[in-house]
Amino acid sequence: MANCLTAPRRPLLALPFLLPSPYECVALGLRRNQSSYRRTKQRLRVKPDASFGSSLSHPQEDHIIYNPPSSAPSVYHTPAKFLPSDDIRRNLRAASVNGNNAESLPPAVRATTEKKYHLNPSDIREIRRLRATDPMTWSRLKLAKRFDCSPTFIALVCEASPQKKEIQKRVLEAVQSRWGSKRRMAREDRQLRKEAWGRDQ
Amino acid sequence: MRPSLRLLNLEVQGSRALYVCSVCRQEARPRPIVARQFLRHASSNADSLSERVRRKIWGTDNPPGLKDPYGESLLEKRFGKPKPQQQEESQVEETDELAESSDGLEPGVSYEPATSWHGLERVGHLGGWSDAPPSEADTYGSFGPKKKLYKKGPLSLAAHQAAVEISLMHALNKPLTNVCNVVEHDKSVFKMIWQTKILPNSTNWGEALEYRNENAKKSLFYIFEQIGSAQPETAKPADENAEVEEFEDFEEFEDPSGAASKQAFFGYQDARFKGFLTLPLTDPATKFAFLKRFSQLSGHFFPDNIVSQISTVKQAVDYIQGQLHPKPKKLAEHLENNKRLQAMPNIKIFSKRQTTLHRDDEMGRRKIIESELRARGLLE
Amino acid sequence: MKRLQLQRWSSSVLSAQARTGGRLQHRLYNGIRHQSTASPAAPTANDQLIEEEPLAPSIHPPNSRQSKYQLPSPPVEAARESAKLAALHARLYLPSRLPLETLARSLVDASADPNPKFNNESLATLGHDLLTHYTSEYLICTYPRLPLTVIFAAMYAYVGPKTLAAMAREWGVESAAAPGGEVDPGYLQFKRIPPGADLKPVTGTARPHEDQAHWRKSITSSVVYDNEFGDPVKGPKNPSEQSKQDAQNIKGVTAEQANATFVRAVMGAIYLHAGRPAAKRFFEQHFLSRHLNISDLFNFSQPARDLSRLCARENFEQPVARIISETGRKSRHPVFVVGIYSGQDKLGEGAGASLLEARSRAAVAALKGWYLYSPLNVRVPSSMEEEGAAPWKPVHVDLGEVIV
Repeated sequence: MANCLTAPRRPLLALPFLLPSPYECVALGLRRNQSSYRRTKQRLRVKPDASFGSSLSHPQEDHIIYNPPSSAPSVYHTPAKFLPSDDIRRNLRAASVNGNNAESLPPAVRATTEKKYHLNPSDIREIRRLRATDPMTWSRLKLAKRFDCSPTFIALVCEASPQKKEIQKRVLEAVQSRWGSKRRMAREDRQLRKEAWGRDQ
Repeated sequence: MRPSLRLLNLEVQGSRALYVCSVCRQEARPRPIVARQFLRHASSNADSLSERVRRKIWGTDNPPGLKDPYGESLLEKRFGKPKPQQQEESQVEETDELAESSDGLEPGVSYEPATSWHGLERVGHLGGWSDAPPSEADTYGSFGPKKKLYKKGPLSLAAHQAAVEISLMHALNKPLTNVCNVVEHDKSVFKMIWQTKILPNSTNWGEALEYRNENAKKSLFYIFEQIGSAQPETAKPADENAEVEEFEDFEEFEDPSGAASKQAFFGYQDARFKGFLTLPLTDPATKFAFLKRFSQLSGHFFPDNIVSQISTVKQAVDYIQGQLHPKPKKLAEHLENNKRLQAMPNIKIFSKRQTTLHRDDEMGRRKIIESELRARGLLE
Repeated sequence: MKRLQLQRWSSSVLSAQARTGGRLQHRLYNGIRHQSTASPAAPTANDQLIEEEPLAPSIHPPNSRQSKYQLPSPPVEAARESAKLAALHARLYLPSRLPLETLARSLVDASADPNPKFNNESLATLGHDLLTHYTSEYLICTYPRLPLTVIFAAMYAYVGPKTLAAMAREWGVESAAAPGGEVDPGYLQFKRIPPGADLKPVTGTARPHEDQAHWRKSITSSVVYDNEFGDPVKGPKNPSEQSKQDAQNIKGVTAEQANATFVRAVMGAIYLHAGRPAAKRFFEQHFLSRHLNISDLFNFSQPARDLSRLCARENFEQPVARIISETGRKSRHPVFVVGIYSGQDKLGEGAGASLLEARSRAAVAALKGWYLYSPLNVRVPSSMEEEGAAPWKPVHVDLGEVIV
């Protein structure tokens, strides 16, 4: 975890297991009876995490345990990579974070494809010609399959003719005209939800 | 160097470069000795100028003849005050003269003024009374003081004095109202009264007093024993005074200026003990005597209904206080007199009730309303 | 702490189409000062502000009730008698050097009293410049990487007219029904717009081709042509047009504008009477103390693409979305937690009901992490104006926002 250094948000007294035992008895024993104390204590007996600090190596030393609740990290906490080179926090974090190695990284959502850059200008001319001559046959997907590139690249290279665009628009309208009110609202809601992602709502 | 002296020096040196106004010059000059001779303080025991001149002329310390052949001088009248001792002497002489004259007029008959008309041949004057010179009975002496008391301190002083005197009379078993015969006590007597403490929450007037010491008690008893007998003013022996002087080891109010003696209560500001406030006025005779003496000392009159309501000394004092500072009848007046509220800039006190009209005017709405009413012909 | 109400979103950093609220906030703000033009008040009047206060009664001498109705605004000497004004002065904890008369003047809008010697226009111009100066330097120094649209939105949230009007309401400033000499000087006085009148969008801006409403307006052009909040503003006026504009001004202003002008005028008055430190303290206590969550101002339309461009620009490894954890993939309500990694470093993390949503949210988080970078020990340039300030160290200056 990269956020070991952030200050603890809970007051120290709320984390009783941090404190030496005699003080602990005074702080908690006065308020709680023995049974509830034991239950509370039991719940706090968690497995020491790596982020708890070096308590295992130096058990005698006083140290701060930072054990935040599971939540998304704050956006005000700039990732170490985004810090400018002259920022002092960069060195501090580099010193504190234990080196993660490549195996510990979680699996990727999608297999990343290596970019090939294999198309030359003649290929691009060919793509444009095909798209212009027969737009109904040579859709973006078909062109992408044929030239072994992504549909996004096809869209970057060429544009559909206005006629094709018009046809596509009519097809879409025809499809949408058959939607009922529920489906239409659901689609609109989905679109609104997607927009909300960008606002982080 | 003080500026006046500097001016003096300038004049002495004869340099008249700087203009010195006449007032300053007059201030700077030493006062003529002659003018000072007439300015005698009441406290000083020195003799007056005319007395000294007389002594010089006759060559003895006890010159024959009238003490002041020219009558009291103007300066004496204005600045001086007859000393008690002198007065005493003169009074003693007067009494002698009176006795002599009465003896001379009707030898062998002791004159006794009648208290009722029983046994009198007739009542009234023989006629031609306007030709007779004014006798002692004709001079009017007011019952109360010339000036009323207004401040709180002198009022409580008066109440304390009245309470102490009535208590003393109680203790001596004498007629209570006799204290009114003495309008003003001597300073030393007043001081003893002032130093006498009245025990708070005491109900019996006769046992309420706590004297400063036995000497004071004795002298007070001696003095008040004589009140109501022939001559109250002469009832102060010199040795008593001397004795009293010894007690005056603190609270010296000896003011060198002559004005001090003219002040009420010899410059005392407030009563030292407040125990008198709780004394009860349930006994009608005591109440009457106290209120009489109190109104004599303070100059305030108690109406009958108030007299019947009063049951303690405190109520009497409070009544006079309330008379002096009547409460304003309206709340607005009361608030307007409040200095603290006046000083606050964020508080505004109106003497009149603020209506919706005022509020409309303050917000600028009134002129709109009026113009609308005018437009519809509802307002001239 | 007062939470600033979010009046509008910054239009998306990237897409002009997502400008939702910008249209609503077309404001009439005439008091802007261009470098090429003079302030609305005559320049001499601005210099004589302080000297003119004692002279003022000689111009408004009459005291009788009837003559008070003739005056457009309350006479100067009425300020001392107003309890409301003294209460407002005390409530705002204004410095005692700021006299009640000036506070009364800051409550008179230009629409109530067109005489520049008695209205608050000159004070408001000064106050507006101070407010925007202090706010913008605070924002830019604290968050040096903020996109311009977000800065516009944050400026609008801190010192925009809606915020200022809300502040005036919180201060307990009431408005008079109509301006006039008999009105208590403690009321805000302005001529109201007749009810039902429509607020026309600002015309006559300095922007060329402003009649082409559908043309795209770039953010860069709004730096030049628009005001501090990225809203259109009237261009520099000719002296011949001045009178026409004045006549239009008499027509009235909205309550929001009048309240905002009052708050600006108070700021200007404090600066004039109590000096720069007091003005800055007032700004910190009343404006900066309000909480604004800047991360809420962002609105990305294609965050993944932006992040990819950013990493390419900054020579980082290409961002890769990785599943940190997931639950209930086959259920009705799955939850995916996706992190965006660049090489070994995690840039952002997001949770969502689908992989696409989680990835998009993670990209948004990563982008916000970039834009919301804040250096330690921030100092603003105006802190150098104080006596005995530490030597200036240059603040962080960023390359700028990601442009696709």
